[in-house]
Amino acid sequence: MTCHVERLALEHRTDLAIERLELTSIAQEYRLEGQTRMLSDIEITAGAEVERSDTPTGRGSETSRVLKASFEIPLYDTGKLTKRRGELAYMRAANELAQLAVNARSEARSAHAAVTGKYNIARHWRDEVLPLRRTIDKEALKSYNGMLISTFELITDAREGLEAELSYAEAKADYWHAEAAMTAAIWGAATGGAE
Amino acid sequence: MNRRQLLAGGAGLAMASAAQAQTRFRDLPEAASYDSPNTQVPPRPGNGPDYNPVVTLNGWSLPWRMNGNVKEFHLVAEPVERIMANGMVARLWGYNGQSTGPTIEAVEGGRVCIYVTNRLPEHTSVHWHGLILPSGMYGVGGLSHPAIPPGKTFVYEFDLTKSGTFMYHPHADEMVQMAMGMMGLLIVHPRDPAFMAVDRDFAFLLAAYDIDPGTYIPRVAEMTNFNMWTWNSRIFPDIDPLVVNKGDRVRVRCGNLTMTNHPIHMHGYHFEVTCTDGGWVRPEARWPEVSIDIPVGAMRAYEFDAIHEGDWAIHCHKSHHTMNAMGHDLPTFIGADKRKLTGMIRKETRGYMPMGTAGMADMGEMSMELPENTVPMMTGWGPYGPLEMGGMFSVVKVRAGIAADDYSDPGWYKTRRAPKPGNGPASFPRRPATPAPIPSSPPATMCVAVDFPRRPARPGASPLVLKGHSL
Ligand SMILES: [Cu+2]
Repeated sequence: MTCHVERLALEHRTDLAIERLELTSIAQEYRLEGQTRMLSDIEITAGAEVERSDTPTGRGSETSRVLKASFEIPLYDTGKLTKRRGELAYMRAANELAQLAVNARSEARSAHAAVTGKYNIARHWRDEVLPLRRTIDKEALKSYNGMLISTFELITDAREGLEAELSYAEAKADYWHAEAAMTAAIWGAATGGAE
Repeated sequence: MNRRQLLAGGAGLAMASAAQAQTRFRDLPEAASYDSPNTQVPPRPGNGPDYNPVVTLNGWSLPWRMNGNVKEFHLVAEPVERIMANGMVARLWGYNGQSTGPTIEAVEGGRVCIYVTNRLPEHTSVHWHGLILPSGMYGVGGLSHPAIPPGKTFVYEFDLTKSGTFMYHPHADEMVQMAMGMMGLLIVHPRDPAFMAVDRDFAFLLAAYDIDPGTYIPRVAEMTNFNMWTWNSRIFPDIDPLVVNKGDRVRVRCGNLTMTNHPIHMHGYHFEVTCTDGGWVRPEARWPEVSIDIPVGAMRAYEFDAIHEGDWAIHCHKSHHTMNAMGHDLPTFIGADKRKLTGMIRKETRGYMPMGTAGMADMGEMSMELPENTVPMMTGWGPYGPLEMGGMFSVVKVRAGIAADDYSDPGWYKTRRAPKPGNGPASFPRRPATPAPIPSSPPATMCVAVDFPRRPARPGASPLVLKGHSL
């Protein structure tokens, strides 16, 4: 699930798309040619060997086993000294893009964790607490009917029942907020969807 | 203690052998059991000296066998389910299938042998309250003899040196075992059947329990705040009536194994205590009464000639002992105006019925849904309306022409002139429940009478709808 959200974020985030265009424009500006391989954002930020190597690093393949969602950044054969300046500019942008992607993954993960948690809490209120509260209300009325408790205790029980409804509403609101925050984490910058 | 007393060998006593124990167990009298809460009228004894058996309200008398000149009984201490009233079952400890246990009846001068088998999860003993016994037979666990371990059978054997009204109960973990319902009556009839003879002889034990509505097992650590005040572990409206033929000489024997006293009050008669658990009361020491206080751990038997026909209430005069389970912290709402509040509460709690604003009699009439396994705190219907009683309440029904062995309920007594409330010489408007406060508005509004129409006197007349009832 987390991977799914990460993939969505990597696919859809506009800031990533912008940065990727930036990268393409740098490549075009410096007429970089001979794209040799694609490395993932993880590999790049983890400091994977990006100089001359035609085979993916062991680490990369290890990572890819863990992360199914990949965000691949094209790298060029930058052996030619004449392209040194372009190469530096490109690698800087590539690293920035990778960093951005890693952050996007992180935000997606925490947004997803928040949604899952809030969902579980709201569901607990709905499926566990509220039915129990209804049972308590029913039994309270029966106890009142039997003059085992007084009107005041009945009111207290009713109030606690209402408080439970309110808590459920709050939990549901939290869930929708988290849901909105996750949408923002997938489509836009992390500043969206604040409470 | 001799070997016969501890059949299968107690702690520290080596068991002879399995075969020997089996042989001995075959010697035991049958352990009779009774699975009904209805009064079982015992037959007159077919053999041995004659006596007039007691009628144990909602109870029975333990069968016996004669072994030579020894009357043998087999008591089994065990967990039981007792129907305290229709709709309420208590999981108690008792004897031979019931709590209160079966009544043991024997005759003065005879010898009894009472086998006590313990099927409880803990040890027990049986104390024979009021009898004059050898020290080792007195049933105080650890003092008279070792307590009877679970699964073992102890034999009590003794001579009955005097007649009278007695009871038995454990004297091992006594508080818990009695709070769980372990007790029974022990009646020793006079050797001379003409001595203190009566036509009808009723007996019951007072027992208090604390069983929260919705639960089944008494709270054994309760000391004072009980909610089930029972006769023979039975509560009104399901305590059987005391059915009497007009002109009968009647005795009512009552023992108290609760932790408080009970003034037992009977309508229609005055009567005299003729017996306590200490023995018969000399005629010159008796005096007429209409309420007899039964002290804690004591027994009283009173007698009267049933010359007045009618349905006569018999009950504990502590009015909260004629109530079933109810809240003990209820505020007084008499005179409170709950109308506005009712509307507000009903928004959240549909089915809320305002009660208590004009007293609590609402409860006796309405039949609203209650928690599981409980009965209304006041209940019961008579021929003229709700009885609004519970707990320690029954009816002595004196009628002409009831056969000697007939104890079946003859129904309600038909009063010659049925009282008709409301048809009196003048019908006075009812006053508000409490004096009206001094009004701040002009007096015109002060005297607007709240409409209090009379309630239907008949049972079943739409008990839920109380139109015009102050909400
Ligand atoms: Cu009482």
